[in-house]
Amino acid sequence: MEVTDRKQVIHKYFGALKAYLICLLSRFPDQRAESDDLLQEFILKKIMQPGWLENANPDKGRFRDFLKSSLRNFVVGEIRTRDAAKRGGKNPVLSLDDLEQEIAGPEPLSDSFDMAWLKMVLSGALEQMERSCAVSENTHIWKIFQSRVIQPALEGAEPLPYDQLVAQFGLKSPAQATNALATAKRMFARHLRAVVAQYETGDQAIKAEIEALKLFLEKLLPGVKLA
Amino acid sequence: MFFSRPEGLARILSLDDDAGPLWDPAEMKAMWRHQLAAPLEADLGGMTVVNNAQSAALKSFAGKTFKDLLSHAEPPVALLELAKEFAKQTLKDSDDKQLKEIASALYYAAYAVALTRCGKSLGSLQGHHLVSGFSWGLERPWLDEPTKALLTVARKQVAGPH
Repeated sequence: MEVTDRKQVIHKYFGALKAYLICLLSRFPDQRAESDDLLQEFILKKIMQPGWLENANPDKGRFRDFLKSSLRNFVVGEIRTRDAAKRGGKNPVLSLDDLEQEIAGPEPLSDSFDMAWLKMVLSGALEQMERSCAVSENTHIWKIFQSRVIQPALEGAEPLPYDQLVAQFGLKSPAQATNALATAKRMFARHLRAVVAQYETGDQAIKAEIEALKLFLEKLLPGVKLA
Repeated sequence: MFFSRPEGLARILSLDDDAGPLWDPAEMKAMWRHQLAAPLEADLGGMTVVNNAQSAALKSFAGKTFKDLLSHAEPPVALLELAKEFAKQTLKDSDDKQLKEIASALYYAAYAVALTRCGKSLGSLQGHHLVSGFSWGLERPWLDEPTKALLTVARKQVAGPH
């Protein structure tokens, strides 16, 4: 993997890594101010090191889990080292086992790496779809999708009522209206899979990752089973 | 996106394989109104016209709507046939249940107009199949009153006074 590829990985996953790091450090009041520093160290000592990203083997698990556990292990090691250094090289007050137990405690899920990751994936899919609609001169498809699906789901807005929608976009019959909205949903699903395909390989792995993200959300929404 | 609640994110994520309804069920009434107000060319323009009568009828109804056709005192049977074929094709090709319901209503409405005003059948459907189709339409809460009245007359005509 080239240096430019590594930089792309950093650029793409920076938000999710930072969110997870803040979440991890929330249990260590002394280290909270160190999040930027720790993230830079992680990037330099891990991601930018030749061969490190190549350790992400699809046969051994998801790329998302690889990044997450790598950052977690790195933070555990760094805190231990810094703790020891503060005490002049004496044994750290916290042993590695203690640290790992502490860090593995229940996470505030809404702040977790997975939530940041999920938002990154969905944002990516929406951006791709908007761009694709603009390029193919189908901006009405994007606007219909926005007013019927995105704004209601993400902003709590009321969906644009059917009769207003068909009037606004000049849809002449229910067949045209249904076709437009169904096309929008299919486009989004295609772009969602394309974004996941940037870090998972093969149809099965892509499907499994989307299912895993749904399972993660189901945990946050007890009693809700996602389609 | 950053401030979105998990419920909203879940709705977006489940679009990946969402087979649920596209429209709110309460919007079926608006969909049917839209079907009636649709210009015939919008839906029938893409159909394969099989004979000269259909072609001539479509031209003579240029700029007219499905409502104009279904409420016409002497509608051209050829155009009713084309409307029925459009509905049948939608039922066959569409994956959307709500659009299929609208197509079914159009299908039986076209049959009912041909039977009651032209004394013709648009196809091979007869007897109890037609009666159950008209009854299905009458049970749709979103169907407008004039279409319900049409289906009621057609059902009576096919089923007989008893």
